[in-house]
Amino acid sequence: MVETVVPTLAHRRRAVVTSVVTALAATALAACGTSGSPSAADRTEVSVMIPALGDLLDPRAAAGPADGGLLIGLEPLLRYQPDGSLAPDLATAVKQPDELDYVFTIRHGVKFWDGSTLTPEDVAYSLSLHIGKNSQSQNAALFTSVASVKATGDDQVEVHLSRPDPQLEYSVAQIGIVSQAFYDKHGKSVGTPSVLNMGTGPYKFAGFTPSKEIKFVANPAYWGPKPSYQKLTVDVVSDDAARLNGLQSGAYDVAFNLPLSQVASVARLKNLQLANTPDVSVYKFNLNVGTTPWNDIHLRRAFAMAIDRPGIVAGALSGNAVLAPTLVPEPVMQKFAGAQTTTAYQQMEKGYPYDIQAAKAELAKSSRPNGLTTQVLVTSSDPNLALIAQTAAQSLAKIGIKLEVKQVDDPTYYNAVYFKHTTQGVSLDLFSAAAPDAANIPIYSLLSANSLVKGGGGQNISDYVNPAVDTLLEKSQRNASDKAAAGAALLSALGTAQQDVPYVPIAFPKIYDAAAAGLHIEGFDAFWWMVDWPEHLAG
Amino acid sequence: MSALIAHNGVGRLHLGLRTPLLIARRLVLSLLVLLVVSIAIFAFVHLAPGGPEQAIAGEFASPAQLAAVRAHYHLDDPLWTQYAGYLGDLVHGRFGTSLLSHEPVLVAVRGAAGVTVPLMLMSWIVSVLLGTALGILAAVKRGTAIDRAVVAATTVGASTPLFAMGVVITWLFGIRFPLFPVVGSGDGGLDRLTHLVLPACTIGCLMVASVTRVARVSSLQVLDEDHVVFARSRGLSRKYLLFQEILRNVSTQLVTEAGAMLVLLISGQIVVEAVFNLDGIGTLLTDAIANRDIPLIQGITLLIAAFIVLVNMITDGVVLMLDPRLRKLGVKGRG
Repeated sequence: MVETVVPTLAHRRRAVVTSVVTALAATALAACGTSGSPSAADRTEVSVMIPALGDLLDPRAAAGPADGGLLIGLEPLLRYQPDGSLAPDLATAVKQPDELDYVFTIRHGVKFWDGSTLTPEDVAYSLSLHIGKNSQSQNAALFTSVASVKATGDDQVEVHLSRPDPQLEYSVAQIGIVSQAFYDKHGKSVGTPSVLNMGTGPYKFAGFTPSKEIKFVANPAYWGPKPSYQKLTVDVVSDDAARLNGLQSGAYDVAFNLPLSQVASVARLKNLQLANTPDVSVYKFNLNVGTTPWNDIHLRRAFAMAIDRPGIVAGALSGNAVLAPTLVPEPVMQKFAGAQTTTAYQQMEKGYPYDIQAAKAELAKSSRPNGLTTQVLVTSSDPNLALIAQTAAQSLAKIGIKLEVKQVDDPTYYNAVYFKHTTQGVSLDLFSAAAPDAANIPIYSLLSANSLVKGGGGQNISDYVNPAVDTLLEKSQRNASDKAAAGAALLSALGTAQQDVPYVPIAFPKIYDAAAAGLHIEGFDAFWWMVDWPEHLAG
Repeated sequence: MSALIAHNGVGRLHLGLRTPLLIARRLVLSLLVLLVVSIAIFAFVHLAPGGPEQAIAGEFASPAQLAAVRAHYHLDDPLWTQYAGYLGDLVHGRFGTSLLSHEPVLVAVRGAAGVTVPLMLMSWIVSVLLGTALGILAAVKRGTAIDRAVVAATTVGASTPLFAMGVVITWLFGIRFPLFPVVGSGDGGLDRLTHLVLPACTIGCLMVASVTRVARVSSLQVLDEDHVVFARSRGLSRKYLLFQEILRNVSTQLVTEAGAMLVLLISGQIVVEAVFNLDGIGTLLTDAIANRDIPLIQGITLLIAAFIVLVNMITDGVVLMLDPRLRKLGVKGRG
């Protein structure tokens, strides 16, 4: 008996071992099979990394680049183009009878994925989700000028403003249109992984992991051109090592908005193309003019002149940025204000150059002639903040200002810097425009209505209040028909504010995108997320 | 296990009389621990700067918007009122709903557990079995090249930071020799398991090292004891020595170590899930903390605390069953 049992057991063991080895080999081969790099024509699916996603598949829960996934499924009325213009999407036309009214003509025959027809009521409902003081939408700030939205007739939606808003069309281009019936049916569950959302776009939602991943499949009944891919996956990969591994292994075909600290590493990867474009954002120190001792203009001037901005661009930012003389990148301002921009920027560049002796002289005139110790908060979600702060701390120390750099988590940082202004008067941030309009950053950063002291949202981090600057900013928004006058007002506002040093602009970072061979990565600007990017990638 | 209990009639008698009392006492103590943990978590979450309204309404939110969100979720109610409501829901088995993703907490945790639990089990089972085998082998081969190799490998394994181990393993088996996926959780089934191989190896390397060291040291102690020397001198087989003398006597230390490893795995998971971009419970928790998603933070941390309490209870129970000496001490000591 024993002699017959032992060989059987041995055989079984061998069989088990063989099975395990076979299974491992099969899974390994299966894994290898997914990481191939097909040619452009053969590619049926694309995996993309983007910097952020919302916690819900709902236009209220995502803003900025986090909208880049949503806007592929939930189409906007107007579609942003890589050249900065707006093209018809779900709206075939837009008219502006006067400076306070817009009329959108809705495209006929568009169907939601469930077969129901898109109506003007759906459009009015979609826009109204972001309107009102109590709106929980992250995009509500884009629509503070809107007084009412209503569907009129069979194919029109009227938007009435309470004040002129030249940025409205860009704001509308950031909002995905949803099905009112779907929202009525699912209530608070809309946008969750089990319910998803209902749109009209070329790609339908097929899966969702909050703030991590959206899976799409092509919509065969799309009203426009046939989608180029059968499947799309949009992921957020937060860890640097995971991001690099994902690109290197071929698990991802595209990465938008690479962290500047990883650009050099990605550039060394074979079979990847790298493209860059100027960002419409600015790294800046904010000096709160309402708090002691930063209410002292001499101290603020000393601070500004003691920061080695060229050194920061070359060192901390590895040359992947452009020195910032003011809050708005020059190419963006050129589009807005035209030729007068060059002279104005040259003048602003002379404002507060890096000059330790001059900084010491200003400090001697201030209320803190012997210098001071202060703290600046940074957050790990943007490692450049710590690098900039540490570089600035070295040069500030030369005049006796000791800048202590403290790293905190995102909520602590945003709470102190943006929402409550509870820093010690000095803060450092990267402020990104919410729309490709030159006035966007100045309005948020300089208009007194956006300061906490005037009851605003706090995006005016320095709590800077200057009625003259307010007037100039408002003038820049009212002269829609006279671009030169609007541009002159905006440039004048920036120049006036610079004299008061509520902020010290450091640099305009570049945006880097990477893509596998065969994908069309060139031509995107900072607002790639508003573009129909899958089709742009397909070329 | 039942054989071991039956082997010692005195122990079985003690278990029969005292165990219900012992279990009841442990359960009450465990509930008290969970209550304290829930209070501590609640206090820390509410004392931390920032709030969920900022994550919900975004960085461009107006004060009116923020106030509306706080009012909607009753975040301005007195803390004791909020805690009482939370505790009342817990008693009824309701863990609440995420403020940001609108998913019930248990649904979100269940989804993430689909990644975390297989990962934990894969790394834990393999490392406990392999670590035990290596540790005993090294002890039996004391002073030989095998022993030195095992000691050197475990020293390297135990002293390497988890993220560094992850980077090395990923590069080797995901990039240099592309055998397994290096990022993501996969789509379930075999694809999920394939995606978990490298993360499990990463955690496993660290855990194998710890288990091996414990197994080796415990085995060396046992090997020097009189009963083993006597058994050897009687010419008893290696198999008998291994199973009846060594494994049986080091089992309590190994079970204790295995329990501790399971608890340690929780913190290790957070790092590994980040390095491999896995949508597990660690990621869910760190995201919830970053968003100040109060119900999700409270739910996950309480479930983790309950898991730790449970693991400790099971470990203690198994150790008591394995070792009659401890059982007598435990029963006497605990009254």
